[in-house]
Amino acid sequence: MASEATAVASEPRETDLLVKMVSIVKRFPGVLANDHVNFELRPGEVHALLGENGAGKTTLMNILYGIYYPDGGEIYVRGRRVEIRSPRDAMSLGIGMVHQHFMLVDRHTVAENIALGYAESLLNPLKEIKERLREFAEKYGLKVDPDAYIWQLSAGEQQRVEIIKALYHGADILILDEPTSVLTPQETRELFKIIKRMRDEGKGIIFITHKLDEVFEVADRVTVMRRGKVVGTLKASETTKEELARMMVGREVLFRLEKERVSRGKPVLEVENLHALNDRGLPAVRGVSFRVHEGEIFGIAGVAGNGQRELAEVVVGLRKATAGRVLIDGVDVTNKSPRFIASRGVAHIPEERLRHGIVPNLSVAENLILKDYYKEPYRRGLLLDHSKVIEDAERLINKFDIVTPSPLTPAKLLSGGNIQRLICARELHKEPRLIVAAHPTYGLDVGATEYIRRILLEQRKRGAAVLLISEDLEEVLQLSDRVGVMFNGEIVGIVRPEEASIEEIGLMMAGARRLAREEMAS
Amino acid sequence: MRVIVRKRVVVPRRFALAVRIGSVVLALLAVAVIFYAYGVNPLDVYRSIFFNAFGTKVGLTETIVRMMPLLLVSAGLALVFKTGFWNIGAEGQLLVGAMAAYVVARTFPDASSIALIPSMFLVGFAAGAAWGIPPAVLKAKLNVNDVISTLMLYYVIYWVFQHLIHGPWKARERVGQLTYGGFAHTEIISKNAWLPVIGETRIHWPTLILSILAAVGVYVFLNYTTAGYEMKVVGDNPEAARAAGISYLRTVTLAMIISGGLAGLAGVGEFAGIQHRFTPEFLSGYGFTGIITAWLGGVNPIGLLIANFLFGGLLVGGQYIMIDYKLPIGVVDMFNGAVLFFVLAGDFLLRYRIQLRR
Amino acid sequence: MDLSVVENILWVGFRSATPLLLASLGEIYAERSGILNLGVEGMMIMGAVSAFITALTTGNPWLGVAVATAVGLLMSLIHGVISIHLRGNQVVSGLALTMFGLGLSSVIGRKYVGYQLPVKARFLPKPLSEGLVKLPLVGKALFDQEPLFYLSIVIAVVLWFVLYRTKVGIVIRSTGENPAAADALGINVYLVRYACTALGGALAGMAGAYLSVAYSPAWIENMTAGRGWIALALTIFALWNPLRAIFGAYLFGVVEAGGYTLQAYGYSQWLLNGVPYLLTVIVLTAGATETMRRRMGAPAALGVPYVRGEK
Repeated sequence: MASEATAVASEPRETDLLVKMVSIVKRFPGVLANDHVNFELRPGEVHALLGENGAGKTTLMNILYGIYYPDGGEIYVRGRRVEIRSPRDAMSLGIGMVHQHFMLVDRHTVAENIALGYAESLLNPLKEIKERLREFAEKYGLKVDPDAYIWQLSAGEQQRVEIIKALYHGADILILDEPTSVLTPQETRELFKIIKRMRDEGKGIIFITHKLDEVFEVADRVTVMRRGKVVGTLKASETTKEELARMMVGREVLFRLEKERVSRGKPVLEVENLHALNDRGLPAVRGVSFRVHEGEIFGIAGVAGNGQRELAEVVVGLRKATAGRVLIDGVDVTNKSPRFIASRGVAHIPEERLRHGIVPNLSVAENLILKDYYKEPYRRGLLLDHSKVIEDAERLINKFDIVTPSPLTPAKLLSGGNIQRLICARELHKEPRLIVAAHPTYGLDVGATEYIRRILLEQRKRGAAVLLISEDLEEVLQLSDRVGVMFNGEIVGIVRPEEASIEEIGLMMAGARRLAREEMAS
Repeated sequence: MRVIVRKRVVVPRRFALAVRIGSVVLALLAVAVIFYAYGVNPLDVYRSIFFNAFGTKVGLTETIVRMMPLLLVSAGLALVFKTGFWNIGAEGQLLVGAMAAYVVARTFPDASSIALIPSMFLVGFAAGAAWGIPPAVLKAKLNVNDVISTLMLYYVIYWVFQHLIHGPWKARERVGQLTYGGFAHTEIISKNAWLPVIGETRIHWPTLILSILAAVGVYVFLNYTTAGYEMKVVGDNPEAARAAGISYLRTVTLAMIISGGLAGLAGVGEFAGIQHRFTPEFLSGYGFTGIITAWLGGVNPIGLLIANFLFGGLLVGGQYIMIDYKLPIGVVDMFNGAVLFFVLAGDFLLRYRIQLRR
Repeated sequence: MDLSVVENILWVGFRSATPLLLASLGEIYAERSGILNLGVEGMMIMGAVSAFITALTTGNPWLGVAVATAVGLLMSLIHGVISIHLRGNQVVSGLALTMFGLGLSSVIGRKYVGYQLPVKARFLPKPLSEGLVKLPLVGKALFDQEPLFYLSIVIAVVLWFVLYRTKVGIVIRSTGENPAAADALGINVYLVRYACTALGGALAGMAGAYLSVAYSPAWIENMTAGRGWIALALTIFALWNPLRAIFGAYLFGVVEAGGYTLQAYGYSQWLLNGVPYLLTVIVLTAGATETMRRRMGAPAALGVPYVRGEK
């Protein structure tokens, strides 16, 4: 099917191109994000923009959508030279964009979020919106409840709202930035159907991704970027996964991580019938039970917002359990303070590392003692022993390969990968019993991702228990010994990755299937 | 032409200093325009302020007299601002400290200076701290807005103070005694409770020592103690602080104890060192001016010393221009506000680089 | 206390509520768009002094209100430029605005200290209809007031309607919650924020005018006496909702008026002067408990400068 569409659209004239970006340059402090990038989009094609995190894909598309203004280069839309200075300009050129981090007002309803940009009547603006929403539901299968609040919607539903927003104005150039990262496999397939329907209508779709499989599933052509430059543009039907991976990373990539067999020891973490509320006071964790043993990685798979975050927070003491128990090495730590739980040998690699993981304006050295500053040897009476702090920092910087000009550099100036190394160094150097890792590789480039995964496997080999939470299903399946699937605050199944199919896990993530107690892998 | 604004990664030190000085100069110019419109020659006004504050021996010592309470107040404020907590009510904490000193001095009128003076400072510190604690607890427990609660508590204690000096604390009229401008006032405290001064000046040296200790002390505290470390963490990233087991309540409360306490000391100094009795005009805005000097000086003894010396001088010079040019006391407020505006605007240049491009 | 005392408390209370209501309505709009303006006190006092001087020289109180509104608006634009374009610290800028306004008003008003407005240049309470005024308890409070009292209620209702029932309201609320989302849909975030900040300044100026041409028609330095700060507390208490602000303002006003009345019964006027400020802290605490319980907070982007493409 994909090849038919490319055949139709092959060798178009210049003026037939929907978008042509020529020699785009964009600099950020210390980074050349786009280095003379060329890109084009034809009508009726899905054009994948493939690259690692930090390769410059999103920057390029933010330029097309008017969020950034380029430092150099030219943009043509439908053959005409244009200046895009704001999203408003982009919208009037028929460009719509679905951002990776949804641009939605959480506390407003679906209809209000759409009316924000598009309502034409000043009074009672929601009426017309609701009527149009019905049309979208019929035409593209984009169904949403206009009166639902955004915060009540699943990530998949929120994405539907974003797509409607992008199409509402009749856009025929649609940019989707990593649209599948928040979806279950089934929802992803649903999205691809919608994308193909739009393509068949003659729209041009730019699909940003770093997942190779998706390129072959949905794209007609693919442009690969690396370190701000375009490596090449190919027809999807004429390339292979291996070739794309090499272009993307610049070297051969191993698709399998070596995972040694480790014999499992006694249980370290025991969670029994745990309940907890989310920030809005609604039940988020509802009767969760599982165990994680020495030398075992226990993965939690699930679509974001199904209670994974709250579960991790209860385990490390950042959220109160309303019922149930958490035991570490047989000691009840339920609702104990974060410091007490950490002192029992629990390490935490938090999600959103900039927000939860580091203190951005303090130095690397000061960040490294965040969990230990109140103890010997750093504390001397009321004072902090600075020379000891620096000495230990230098040791950890070496041991964990943190790239920093000096231990006194503010942590915020480090790259994402090095910030994660800093957090790992702080959390793991004391050989913890349990490691709670939430989205540990999110947003990191391939090198940093490999490093973090290797470290988790090393810790497992050492005999630590690891509770791994990630939205990256591939990662969970690759690293974990057992995987618990969370849906709506419950663990609906525990499986061994080598025994379960992606299909089955996807059904569980969507709540369409659950395992009976005796079916769960123990 | 396009204006391109880029974030700065590093700020050269000299450039930062130049921007700060430039901001103050522009503020002086802006206020000059207002003086001119008001009908006085701004050059004369500025010359008069400068000469009266820094150009004479009396002026210089008076500037130091004003600098002392400002230094105490702003040292505490600079520290509490580091935790991200906005204490706008230092004026009230200062007043409570002064009232505590009065109570001590009146309760033990015959005690020796050696006993009285340290006790006044101790009790004054405790009282100021006590008045500073509730907003910290309310913010930590219920997320009550700190700016409003600290300021409202200033008004509350201000009216309690007025009540006391108009009623329970009012001096009994005696034949032959001067009444203060026909207004209410308290008795003068016994001489034993007066702070000693240097020579013929009004510089009460115990407060001078305390104020310099405070400016250096907050710096040492913030950078060399574990409690100071906790304050930096809480101020920069409260969520990471929580994850690391640092109590927001404890940290902010401690910062407010120090800040309120130091303001209380300023009140004791002002009362027992200068005024020796209460009148309705006891307060002169050190608690508010200290916000600016704290913000300009930061937790840095040199910065605090320079900022407070300059603003102390402004207060002294302001007194003279009020008499010489019939300007109201509010001129100082106006000047303070203008300086803040321009410093804020100047900060933009420190955080961003502006380029023009065709 | 007989009924006429209560009646009088309500009457005085509703009068003193008017400036609180006007100022907090303006602040509600500013904060809904994401701008925290702590300079209400400064804008209010500048409104008071300019309204007074205008009314005194022209003899026309409406002209006074107009000038005060314009002056308040101009003052707020200083804060607007610093907060919006220069991305400065909004707390410090608001404090600066308060200091600057208090200082400048005392300089401008220096020559007028102690002056009273002649009767023709003031707003005077006038019964809407003789019949309604005779209603027990609330008759006088509701129907024997000066024009700005009624205007403030009309403004509150209109602002409520705009905020919750029109597209403009959706745009303003979205800008304060998630400016990036608004920007991505082509909304001019800066323009919305300037407009709301300016509205806030205009209404604060009008509140000041009420004080100096109606409530106590004279010029007294610092005559706002912390009302700007009470209006800020009221904004939080009202959960950023104009209709709730009406309720909050009258609650405050009546308590304040009750204080004055108690003076006549021998309670210390000084202590009673302090009551509204203590009440503010108590109300704020109660309000905070409620926001916590209902998990409703300030607009999510309040006080955070917006820069396109920056996180």
